[in-house]
Amino acid sequence: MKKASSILKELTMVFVLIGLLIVFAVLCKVVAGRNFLSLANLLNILGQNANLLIIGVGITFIMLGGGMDLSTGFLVATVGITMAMLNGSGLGFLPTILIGIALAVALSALNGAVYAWLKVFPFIITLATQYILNGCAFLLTGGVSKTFRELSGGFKVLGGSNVLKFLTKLGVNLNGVSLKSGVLVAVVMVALGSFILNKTHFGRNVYALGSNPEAVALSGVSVPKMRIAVFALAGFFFGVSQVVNIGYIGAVNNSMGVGTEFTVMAGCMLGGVKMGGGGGKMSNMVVGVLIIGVLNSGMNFLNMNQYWQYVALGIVLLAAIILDTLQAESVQKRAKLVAGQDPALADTSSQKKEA
Amino acid sequence: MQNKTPVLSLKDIVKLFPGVVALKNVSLDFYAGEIHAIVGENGAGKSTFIKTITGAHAPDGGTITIDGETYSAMNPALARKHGIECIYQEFNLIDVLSAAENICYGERSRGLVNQKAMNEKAAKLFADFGVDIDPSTPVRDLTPGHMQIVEIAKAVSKNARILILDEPTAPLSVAEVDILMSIVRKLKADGVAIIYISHRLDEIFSLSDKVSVLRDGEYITTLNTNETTRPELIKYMVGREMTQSFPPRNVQPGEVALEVENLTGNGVKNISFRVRKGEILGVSGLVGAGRTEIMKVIFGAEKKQWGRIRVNGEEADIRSPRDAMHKYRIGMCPEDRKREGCFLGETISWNIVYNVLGRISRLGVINRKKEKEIADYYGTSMRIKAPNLDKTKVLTLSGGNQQKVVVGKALAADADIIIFDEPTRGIDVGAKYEIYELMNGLVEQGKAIVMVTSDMEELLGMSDRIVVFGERCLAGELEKAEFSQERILDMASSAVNM
Repeated sequence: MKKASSILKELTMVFVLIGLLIVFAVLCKVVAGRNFLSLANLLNILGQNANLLIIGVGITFIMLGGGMDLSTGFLVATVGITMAMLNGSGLGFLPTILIGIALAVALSALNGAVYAWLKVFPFIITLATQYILNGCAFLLTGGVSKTFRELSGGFKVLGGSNVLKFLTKLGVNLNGVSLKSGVLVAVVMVALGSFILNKTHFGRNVYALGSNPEAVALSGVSVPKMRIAVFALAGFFFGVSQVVNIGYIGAVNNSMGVGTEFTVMAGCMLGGVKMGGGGGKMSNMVVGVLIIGVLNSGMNFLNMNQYWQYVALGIVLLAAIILDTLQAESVQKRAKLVAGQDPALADTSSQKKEA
Repeated sequence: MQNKTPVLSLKDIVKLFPGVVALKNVSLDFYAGEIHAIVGENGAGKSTFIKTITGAHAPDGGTITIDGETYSAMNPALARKHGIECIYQEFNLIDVLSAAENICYGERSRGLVNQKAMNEKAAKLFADFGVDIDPSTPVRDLTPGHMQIVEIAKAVSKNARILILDEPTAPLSVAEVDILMSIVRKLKADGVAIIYISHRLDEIFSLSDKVSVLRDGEYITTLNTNETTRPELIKYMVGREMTQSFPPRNVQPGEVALEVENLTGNGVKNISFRVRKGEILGVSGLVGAGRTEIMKVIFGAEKKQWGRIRVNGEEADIRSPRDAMHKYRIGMCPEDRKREGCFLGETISWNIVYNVLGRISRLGVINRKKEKEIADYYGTSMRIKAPNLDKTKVLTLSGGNQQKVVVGKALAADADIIIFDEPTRGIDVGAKYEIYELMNGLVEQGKAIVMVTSDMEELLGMSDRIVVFGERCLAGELEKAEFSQERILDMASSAVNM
């Protein structure tokens, strides 16, 4: 019984996702007379969200490790414009993306290094670096906004080409059905992130860091080094996401990717990745980001005013936070009931509080 | 004096915690204008008793009578209404606010604060106390002694009629203690009933009128301070029978495994001791003596100021827990299991193997089979009671089982020198015995154990040798033949504060 209920709880957000799909299917049919659940539209939603899912892998690592990152959007913008300039000035595709990804790793590692050094919650640090990166993204192009369209074909291959195109050669009529290559990259990145998180020593340390950094330090692991490593790893995914995004859009400007950090963080929280560490899985992030993707797409299908869309997203996020808080409280209550409180510990802990 | 009615009277107070009776039918009366000291070892029930008076704990039995009104339990608001104020060893001040603002904090006002009136009020209180503190100084710029005085002034300004001082002198210097004592005497003369808790027996003899002894949650006796002596008091404090049994072991201690010499750091001075292979060194001392603090220095979690640490006869340069664990094979089972010992939100297996992941990983990928073997081995040998080692989160375990997870996690690291900090705190007798057997097994394998404990029976029953900490320094060392509760307590409570 207990098992069944805990599985149900884990799948709550999957049901929400399925529920949303059904609700939009009905609404779109009735209100707009359009088919929301068509294969073309579903694959389209995946394509639109491929780069967000890849960023999500990085954000999940940061959040599980007890941190947060406000600067992701400007970081990817800076990386994007750098790659466009390098590529535009004749550098080949492969060296361009390698440098781009390396730059993303380095910038994110810097965030982590400042965090490890100052030991303040990274909200403030990444708030500051967000401004710096915002400036850098424009200063690189001489302080003016620029758009690059002449890019290597490699970008399109990795992000924006239709994987199903070969079917047309076999005589299949695709009817607008398109699976973007970025989706495959996203699948690989999510799998890679999941593998690191679940199967490796490093992954364990990420959870440990978010759960109890004091215990991590007493277990002989360097907390500062871990913090830098987590941000550096996240930087890798940020870099890859921008390569895919460039391919998908087919052009780059100085603010491409700005704002994605909030969408992704919202998705993570919706899916059940805990802010400030303390649990969550890659699958949580994927479901959460897709919920937001479906919401956006559905509301667009219904021709909903953009600003009403914001309001709706905010309400959904608030609802998720309330749900999460209620769940956490009930878990704590249960834990207290089981564990009781032994007097010795109760005494010391309350004394510490009084301090 | 005894003909007066008490201002505060507690009758047959019982407080139960899961598995432990913290207070057994304790009855005590407190009178106006009297300094009543309460003494007892760690865990005697002093804090629980105080919390019953302040309303932090609701007792499971008994009554509290104050001003002629009888209650079954206090609560903080009620306690305050009756003029009960408590001052803890840790300060309850808002450090960015001034001394005057702290004193007046929580008073009813009409929305605005009157800085001048507050300063005048504070200045008057300080003048009464005969101390020179500028009321407008932010509290964080005051010395610990002055902070303590601000605390007392705050209590007095709330018309405290019953003032509880819980280890008030622990953070103070000798000169500051004198000032504090003169203030306490003054309050006594003003008719305040004072309940004074301290493990410094010297203070109790120079200050109190009466002294009551608690032991293992039981009321033992109340004596007039001028009619008793230090040895008599200690006898009452420790006079327990040894009821618990300990598993036998047969080990000849070998060479010295760990030696520290004049080790200083983390607020503790000049600690020297040695532990041999196959030996359990007990580390005794009252709460706050600095035992845990110095263990953290040895383990590299806190900075060493000076002194030497030798492992197997060779100078050890330990700069981090990583060095301690991997270079010198020192293991640590921390005192505060929730904060430092384990990862509550993770499963039992996850916790047990955490320290050894490096050993069972190849290219960073964890070998699931080895992981399961290790988790099962320690989970079973620690007899952790849980539905499923791989699925049950530590959060949902009882305190005793959580402690076993922490011990199991420390043991899995397979160290040669293991520091156990309060290894059996809060766990039942059966689980304790299991941990003792495990410790015996470890020393029989030639490992060295340093065991910090506040449990006197455990200390005497398990140690081969004991070092006693005074206040943040070493008070003495006892060989097995010299073990006695009285000597240990006498040493622990007589060390001078620097």
